[in-house]
Amino acid sequence: MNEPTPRQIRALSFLVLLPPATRLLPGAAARAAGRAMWLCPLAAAPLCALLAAAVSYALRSKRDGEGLGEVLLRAWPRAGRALLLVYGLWLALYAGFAVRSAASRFIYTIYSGASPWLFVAVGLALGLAAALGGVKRLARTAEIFRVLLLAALAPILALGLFQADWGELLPVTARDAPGVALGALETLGTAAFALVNVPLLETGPPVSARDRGRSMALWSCGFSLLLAALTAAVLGRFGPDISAALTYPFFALVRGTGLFGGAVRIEALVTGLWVLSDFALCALSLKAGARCICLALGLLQSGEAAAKRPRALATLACAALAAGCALAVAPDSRALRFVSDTLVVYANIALVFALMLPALALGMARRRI
Amino acid sequence: MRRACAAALGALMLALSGCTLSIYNNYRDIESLEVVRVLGLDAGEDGALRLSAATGADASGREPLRISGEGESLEGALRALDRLAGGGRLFFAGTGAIVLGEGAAGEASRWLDAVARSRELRLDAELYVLRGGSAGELICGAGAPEDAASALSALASRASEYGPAPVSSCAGVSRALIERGAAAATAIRLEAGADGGLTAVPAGFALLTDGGLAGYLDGEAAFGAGLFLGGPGTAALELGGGVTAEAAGAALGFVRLGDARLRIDVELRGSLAEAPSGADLSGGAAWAGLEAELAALAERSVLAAVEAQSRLGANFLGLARRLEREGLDVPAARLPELEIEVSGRGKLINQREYARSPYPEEKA
Repeated sequence: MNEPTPRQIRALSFLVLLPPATRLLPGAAARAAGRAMWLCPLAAAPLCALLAAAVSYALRSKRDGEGLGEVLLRAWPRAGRALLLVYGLWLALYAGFAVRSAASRFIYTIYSGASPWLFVAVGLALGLAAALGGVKRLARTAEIFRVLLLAALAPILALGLFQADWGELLPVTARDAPGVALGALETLGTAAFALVNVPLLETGPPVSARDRGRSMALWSCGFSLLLAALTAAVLGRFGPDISAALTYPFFALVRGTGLFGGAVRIEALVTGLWVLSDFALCALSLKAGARCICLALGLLQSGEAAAKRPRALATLACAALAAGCALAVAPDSRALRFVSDTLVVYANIALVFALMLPALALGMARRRI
Repeated sequence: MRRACAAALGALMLALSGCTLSIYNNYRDIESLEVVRVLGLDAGEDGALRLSAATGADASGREPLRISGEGESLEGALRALDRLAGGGRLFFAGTGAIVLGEGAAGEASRWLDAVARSRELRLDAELYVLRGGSAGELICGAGAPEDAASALSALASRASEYGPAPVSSCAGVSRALIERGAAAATAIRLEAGADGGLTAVPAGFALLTDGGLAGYLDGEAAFGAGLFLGGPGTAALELGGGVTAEAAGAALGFVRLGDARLRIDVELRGSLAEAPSGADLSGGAAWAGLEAELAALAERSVLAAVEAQSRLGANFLGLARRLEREGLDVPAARLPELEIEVSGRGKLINQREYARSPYPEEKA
């Protein structure tokens, strides 16, 4: 079997979501909701589950070897191409942003003062190598990486929650609702990336909409719970004001977590392992972007085995675009923060909720899919 | 061909293992690392910072390194210290305790901000304020403890176990300073220790505010503050008449009495630990008497802490947040106007080892 299994799709989604979620959410949620920041992922959970269910419903008509892109094309043969072209370009740019953002995290946590370009070059090279290979290989890798990342996350979470000042989590009142809603929107914007873009590569045999919907909705809720726990650990350590001010509150928590009274630090290990999810995110973005572009330009025949050469050329083009984006997107950390906290989140929301979902919904309403 | 390419790429990856200065810019030889465990900050001249550092004792029996230097900033002072380390390299990321001398405590916000931004230091380090002296005396002074890190680590364990409250980390103090403009940090003082040299002993709380060091809390006020800050552990409560109880927990409650008054209910639980020989504490009246003494102690302590908060204008007890959590909506700005009364309750939950002492009563 050369296509990813549902379990591998969930592993890939986990990996793809981890870098943006840990980079963005504790800080964004703190700025939006203050002390109620830990509720933001919980408030987003039902919305993420609904999104997962909606995508699953749209995928019910896909055939073996097809992904979400082909479904969209069947619903909208002409407009779908334009939409997929937009998606392809966005994913290529996102790959560049992802490696630039990962470089920034490395500089912040370990390699202070280092130039980001080496990290960007290595990240893109590895992502490109993976994107040129099969999706099954990437998905299998994700399964292994997920175990490693969970093993790194577990002690941080356990120690973070153990050392947290639980009094910081309360009180939460009805007045916090608007802030929680804004934080939930940002969580949804982050999660939407994985929930919609991973299915672009979900080319395995069709799974019933009910089964897929249920498993992905449960997965979304589980991931939201994990994010809520991480956010609570950050809040319990730093309080809402410091959490809102820190560039990467989660990695500040990691830096400030030591065993045996601070004698043993695990930050380098954790930060080092995070590169695995950066790699998966970059590879998926390039691969999904190239697939969208190929579909948009008619280079892949729907349902047929992908032509290797156009796919490879599209992947290389996406990588070039990603490199350009990484070079231009953030001349300094302030610009990177704006892109990361605002531009990317709301672009994700706009692409998913203003373009992809309405297109799929209208296609289903017209009984084309 | 593919395999050859993969092997070549794999071999290239070895260059990224962190074992070369060209890529890994903070590479350090582990043999030359001197892991700093305690850092002391003192005010130097013209706003400068005098920094003292001590490493811990290691398994090889090597004596802790003690070193001090000066800089205009924390980062500058850290580099200055490193330059003085000779062949070794100071590694500050393992710093578990930061001691502010009295002068530096006056600029606590500045130094905590610098710690938060520091590449090397961590906000989870414990924070101490040295009363009436400089942190340099504790770390590098002539009579300083041989291993300041161990001395402070033992002190932290005692503070957690015997009260008044566990030692706060830099993160905890920063949180309080930012949120309410005041924080209570563990204060220590230097006293002659068992080996004839100086050692650090607990000395209540230092009250840090936006405006600097507002003062200290001692005795019952410190005990009362400790009840708000995670104490009292198993503090020894000397109740008078030769009776001593061991604290066994406390609970605080808040009751709003109209618009302008607030009552703090404090319950202090204890176990009888010591009484005069021959004492008979088996009767209900004796038990009630001891509980009344516990209640009076709790009441006095909390009142002293609340009064210190009003007197110093430093909201280090975090009353506004406490009230918010209890569902009592009192804006922080209105707190100083509130008339606060304290109601104490004592509860004796145990007595060691017997109620009636079998030893003969001492004759006066």
